[in-house]
Amino acid sequence: MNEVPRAFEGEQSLSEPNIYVSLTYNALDASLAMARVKSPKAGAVVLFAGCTRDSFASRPVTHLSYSTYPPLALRSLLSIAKAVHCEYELVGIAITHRLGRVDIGDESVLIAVAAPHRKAGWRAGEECLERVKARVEIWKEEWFEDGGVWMSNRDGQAGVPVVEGGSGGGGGAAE
Amino acid sequence: MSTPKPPPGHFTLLYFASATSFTRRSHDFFSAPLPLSQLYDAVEKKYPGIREKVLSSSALTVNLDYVDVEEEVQKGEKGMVIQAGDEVAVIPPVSSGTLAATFHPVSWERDASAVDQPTPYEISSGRSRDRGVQLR
Repeated sequence: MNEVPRAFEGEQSLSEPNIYVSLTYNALDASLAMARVKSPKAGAVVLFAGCTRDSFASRPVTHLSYSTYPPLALRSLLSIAKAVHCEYELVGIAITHRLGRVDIGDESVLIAVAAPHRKAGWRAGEECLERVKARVEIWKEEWFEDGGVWMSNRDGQAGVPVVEGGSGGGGGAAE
Repeated sequence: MSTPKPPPGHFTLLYFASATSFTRRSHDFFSAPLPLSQLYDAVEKKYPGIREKVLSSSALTVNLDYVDVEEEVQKGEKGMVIQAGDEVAVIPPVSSGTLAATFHPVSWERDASAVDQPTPYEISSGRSRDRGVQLR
């Protein structure tokens, strides 16, 4: 019905020592994400899982769908991971973003960071997520139970010309 | 759907998100060489209206590097020239569920007829060039 053609099968990744970023159409694995960053040098591992919420602005959502330009998104993910790793003096960092259809309750992104101490870990995880959402070339569609499809945009600062469809909503969104 | 290889003497232009929705295609091949400053004219000719509705709010990459289209236009003949085999991509504003997110509903019926991808067509006047700078 709404299956977007897959750009690849399995997982595509880029890595450097203690840094791992990937894209996959498969279900995400939180244990694997943690395992990628754990170290005897890390007193804290912070794992963030962004999940698909079942509604937006009271409208029931059936699922989300993500599309991307894989090589560019991987490059951006690696750039963010390296910067956060350096700025927060992390032991390790791993980011995996899911593509294609993501059903309610499923994870669309996992970010795992390992730090010597928890404070840097918490902060690094949050900052990393914000950068991923703001900058990585991954586009999201929200599919609603009543038949609508909305594509969300990051940019609400400038005027938004409505080319087609009804009036736009606003506010937060499912992850 | 791996990255399409252009025929000899051509480059690939990739479309994503709102660009795909507008063109109903994932990519096109254009004749090379082509000065970057003429790219949007060529795309507008093929898809009337796309400049205002998509390109003006999108960023552009050439072989995975962001380029500043306005700057290249200003350079005139000294600007970048797209070569055969190059991979160029229109990068619409990135989706994200932040407080600044804006949404536009699009009817199911209309999108059900989409060929490539039933994405709704809607755009925002994003600050695309700023994004390009951030990503460097």
